[in-house]
Amino acid sequence: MIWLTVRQYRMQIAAMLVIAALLAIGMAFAADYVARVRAELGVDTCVPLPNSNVNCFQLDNEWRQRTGSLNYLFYSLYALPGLIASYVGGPLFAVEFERGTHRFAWTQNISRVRWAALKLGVVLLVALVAAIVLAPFGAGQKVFSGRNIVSPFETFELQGLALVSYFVFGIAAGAFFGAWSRRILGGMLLGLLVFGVVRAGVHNLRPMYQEPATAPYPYSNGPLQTSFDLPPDAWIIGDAAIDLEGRPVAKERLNSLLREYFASPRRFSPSSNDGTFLRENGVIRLLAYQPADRFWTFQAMEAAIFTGLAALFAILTLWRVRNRDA
Amino acid sequence: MDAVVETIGLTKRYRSVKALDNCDLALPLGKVTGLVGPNGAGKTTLIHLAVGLLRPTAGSIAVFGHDSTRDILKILPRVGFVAQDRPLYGDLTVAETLELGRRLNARWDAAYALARVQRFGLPLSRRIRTLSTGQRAHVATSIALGKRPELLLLDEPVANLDPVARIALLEELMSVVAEDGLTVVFSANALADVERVCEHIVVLVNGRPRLTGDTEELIDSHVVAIGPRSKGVSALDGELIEARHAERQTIRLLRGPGPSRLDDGTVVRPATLEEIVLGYMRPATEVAA
Repeated sequence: MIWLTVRQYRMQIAAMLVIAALLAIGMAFAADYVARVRAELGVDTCVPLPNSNVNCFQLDNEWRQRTGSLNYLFYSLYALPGLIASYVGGPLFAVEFERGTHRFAWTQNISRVRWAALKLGVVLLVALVAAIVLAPFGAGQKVFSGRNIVSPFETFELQGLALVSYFVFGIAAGAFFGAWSRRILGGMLLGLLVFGVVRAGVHNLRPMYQEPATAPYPYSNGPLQTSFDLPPDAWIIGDAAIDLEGRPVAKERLNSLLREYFASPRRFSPSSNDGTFLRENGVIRLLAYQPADRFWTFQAMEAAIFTGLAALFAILTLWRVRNRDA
Repeated sequence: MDAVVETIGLTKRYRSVKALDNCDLALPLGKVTGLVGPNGAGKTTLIHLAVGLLRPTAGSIAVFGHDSTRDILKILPRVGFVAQDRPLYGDLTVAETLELGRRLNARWDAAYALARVQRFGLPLSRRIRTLSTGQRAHVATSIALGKRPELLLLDEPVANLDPVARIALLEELMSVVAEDGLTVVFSANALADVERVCEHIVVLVNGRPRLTGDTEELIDSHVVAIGPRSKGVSALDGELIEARHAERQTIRLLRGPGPSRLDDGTVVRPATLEEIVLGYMRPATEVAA
């Protein structure tokens, strides 16, 4: 059965591995090249002209123009698991049902569950290898920011355990919808759709994996002016607010106070800012963020979600194959 | 009679359609049985239930005494099955298809399967999808026979084959049967094929067996009586299976010895298998021809 799956999918298997290898090499070279061009142009050592920084701005622009398109190499990591879900996962069982070959396979001396598990297992293993090849390179995308310190969360979905789990999830979801709809097209479309929806949904959940840390809101003017004492590699996820005793304040209250302030003439007063207004109303505005040292915890949590869903779809696929009329 | 396939109250419903309806049936061991019936009579459903591709809605089906739902893995090693349209993996070559047969079956006679494929002059390096329908049929049956089964189940094995290939395949199968004492059950639309090779016949109509019996017995026990056109039941001995009225005469299929002497000019002769099968397949009422 392993032999059959490898034989049946040798093109897809080869394509997955070759694309992964080429993309990994491409990303490694691209990250290096982008940094080198920046150094050669001297973007970071640029001294502004006495009256304007337009010369430095132009250097930066030139760097972006020369290297920006390489970003697509990295962006392809967003699309790749979805494409594999669609093109490899979707038809995996559907093609058998459409062509009737399951009736051949299921009447040899092999149980349906074993047949399906080995088929899915082989393809999952190949996708896993491809993903592991790619996983270390996505983080290189940070060079495009031009900053020295970049939060690892900015390339969260392009690297590590999370990326690997997207591949596994995609295949399992595609396989399930193909087995369920019995149609290649159904598997391909539903696989891609569900992959996209789940990815987007989890993306929105991610900031809440752990209770965010907070830092004083940095006001740039007025009496409450504070230094920006947030760690530079923190992932800022939004506002938070507490009252003067340190108890959390609802977002709605913060927002309504801010609207009130910005609608009032006080906002033109040089001696106060929104911070002072909030404090008069018993609210202290904060920034909520996830510190960079939580990165691998978040990666593990993300991977657990997608691997768990992949396992669920795999079990549903086996169950479907075991119990369905042929 | 030892039964190779036995069904008790077997019912299979697809949503609202009953493909098999409370079907009690026993197919004899060591014989070639033909399953015949109009399209939609439940032939494919019955065969698929036997090899575990389908599960009964009610009742049970046993092959070699093992329940097809619970013990399918005890049945499959002993059964060679070729589904309708002979599904095979189109991308594989003939040699790879044989290799697949070896890998998927604990009991596998590689030399036998290979010899069989070569006997039909099938090039081993050709992909299945480039083969003709007849060649595919030979590969599919070679895989089924490579298991060295005790029961060969074939769903429309000669459909879409030209007459020469049809006869070649059937005769070849029958020679295997003769050599190995294999039990064969196959479904067919073409009565001529059934007549040529079957020792036992099951006529399925609307999901139920209308007629079962050994071919020779059936031929011996049925007669056709052709007489002047009449609507009423004639004084004929035997059970009236079907009567068809032509312009001037009435043709009746009867089960029983038939009339010994008739005054009204009715002619009685032995029925052919085709007449018997068609007689049972058509509605039991009197039909105008």
